[in-house]
Order: sequence, then structure tokens, then C-alpha cells
Amino acid sequence: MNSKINIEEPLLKSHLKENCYTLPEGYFGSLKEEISKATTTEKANSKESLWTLLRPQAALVGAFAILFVIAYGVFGLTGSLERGSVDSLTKSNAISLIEEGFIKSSFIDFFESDSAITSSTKISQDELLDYINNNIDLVTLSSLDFGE
Amino acid sequence: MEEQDLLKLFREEGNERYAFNLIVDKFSERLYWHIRKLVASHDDANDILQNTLVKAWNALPSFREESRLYTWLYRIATNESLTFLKKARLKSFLSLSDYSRQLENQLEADAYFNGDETQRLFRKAVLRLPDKQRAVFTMRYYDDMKYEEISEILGTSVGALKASYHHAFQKVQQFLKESV
Repeated sequence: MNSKINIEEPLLKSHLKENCYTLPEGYFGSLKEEISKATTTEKANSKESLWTLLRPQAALVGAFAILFVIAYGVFGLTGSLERGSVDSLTKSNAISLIEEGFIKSSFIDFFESDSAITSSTKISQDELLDYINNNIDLVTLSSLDFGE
Repeated sequence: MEEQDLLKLFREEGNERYAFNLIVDKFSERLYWHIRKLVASHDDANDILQNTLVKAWNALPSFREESRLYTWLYRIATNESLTFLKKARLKSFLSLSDYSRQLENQLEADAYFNGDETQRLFRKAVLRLPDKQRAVFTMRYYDDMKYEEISEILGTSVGALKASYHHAFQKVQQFLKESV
């Protein structure tokens, strides 16, 4: 008898396909409300969860931005001063600045120090004559041409 | 209202919720019975159906109409059911056969089942099938779906589906022969 069972046999198939499950009363009526509630909550949750997800990244980006601004401020400020002092100098400006003593270079220093030496060691005419009298002999003296 | 009209209405600004309610009205019952045949219990079917519809609501704005709306919804429902079954089995640390037994027990205790003994045995046999094979068998045997449609829903080739249905059919037939 068992070997006769064929679930493709039309009568048996239609019997087996019958819906033998039942449902709580009014199930599909309340389903729409449930879905409506669920989709509203889902939307709110998705917004919240998106922010929750992005918050650490946003904090990280913010921290980097602050660091960047600070670094930019520090380097930018010092860089602009240096650049400004060089860029804004024309040749005539530089000379006037050197003359006024705002810029010191080794070249200027050299002359400054030289002039300092000359100014501090001024020799009077009497001292010069004394020096000649004491150190230069007559022959040498007669050979000098004073141009009358 | 036709699928095309429902989608057109959904895309009109301010009408999304109204159109979606109409979609729920039109398809929820068919989707419910499809899910119920896969998971047996009403409570599980209810949870899965709600997840399916919430997912559909979220994904509908990006639905590109490459398939029919019903096929698309059917696909979400089937995937949700298969995921649910897989998770439930992993959660309870049960093997496939043990989990099938658990489903059978649920069917025995189900207050919302009013079939006769042959129908009960048949449902038990179907619940013994592996999840995906059960989905193939259900869509083909109960819903008379074409292999091409099932292929679109499950993303499996027609040849593989035919083989799967054949195996499922043999197993169910064998179980009934042994049990009756």
C-alpha cells in the first residue's frame, strides 16, 4: 500500500496543498499598524544609529582639524614673517636699512669695526712730526718731495 | 492597483507611506503563507514578515524594477526566512536533523495547525528537508512557481534547482512511504 503513495497524484496533491495552518483572528488587520509603527521607529533609529556610527569618526576629524589649524597658525605665522622680511626688501630699502643700522651684516660690521679703529686712533700733527724726527734719517728726509 | 501604479504612487512625494500601505495590503498575505511554510510557527513567521516589510520599506526607494515587485518581495522574504533558520539553528547549537526535529515538535504543538494526519505527516516531511531545499520544494510544489522564477528569487541556476527539487521530492515521498 505504501508503494502506491505518489505526492504528484492530482487528488492527493490538492489535499496536501490545502492550507492547514490558521492564524490569530484579525492578524492581517493589525499587521499594517505594526508595520507602520516599525517603519517609523526604524527611520528614527537609522538616523540615530548613523550618528552613533559617525560620532567617533567626526571626533577624530575634529581633532585633526584643530591640530591642523594650530600647526598652520604656528608655521604660517613664523613663515610669513621670514618671507615678509625678505620679500619686502628692495635694493634701495636694504641700503637704507643698512645705513640706518637696522640690518647688520658681516660686511658692514667689518667697515664699522674699521672705522671704529680709525676714529679711536687719531694722531695729532705734533705726534706725527715727533715720530718722523725720531725715526727717519736725514737722507730719507731730503728725498721726500713736499711739493714746496 | 497594479504593481507599476503602486510604484509610481510610491515615488510621488508625500505619498510614500500611503503607497506602501497599499503594497502591504496587496502582498502581505501571500508573503506570510510563503514564510509560514518555511518556518512552521506563526510567531516566527510574524517576526520574519515584519522584518521583510521593514526591509522592503527601506530598500524600495532604490528598487530599480529589474524584476517584478512581487518577485523582489518574495526574494527578501525567502532570504529573511533562510537567515532566521540558520541563526536559530546556530543559536540552539543543534545539527540540521536535530533542528528539523525541533521544527516538527513545534508543528505538533502548534495551536494554529488544523490539518489531518496525512497533511501533518507531509508537513513534517517537508520540515525535515534542508532549509534551501525546503524553500525550492515549497515554491515549486505549493506555489507552482516556474523554475525561472525560483531561480530569480534564490539566485540559483535552473539546472541546480531541478536537481534540488528532485532530491527533495524523493525524500518527502520516501518519508511518507515509511510513515503511512
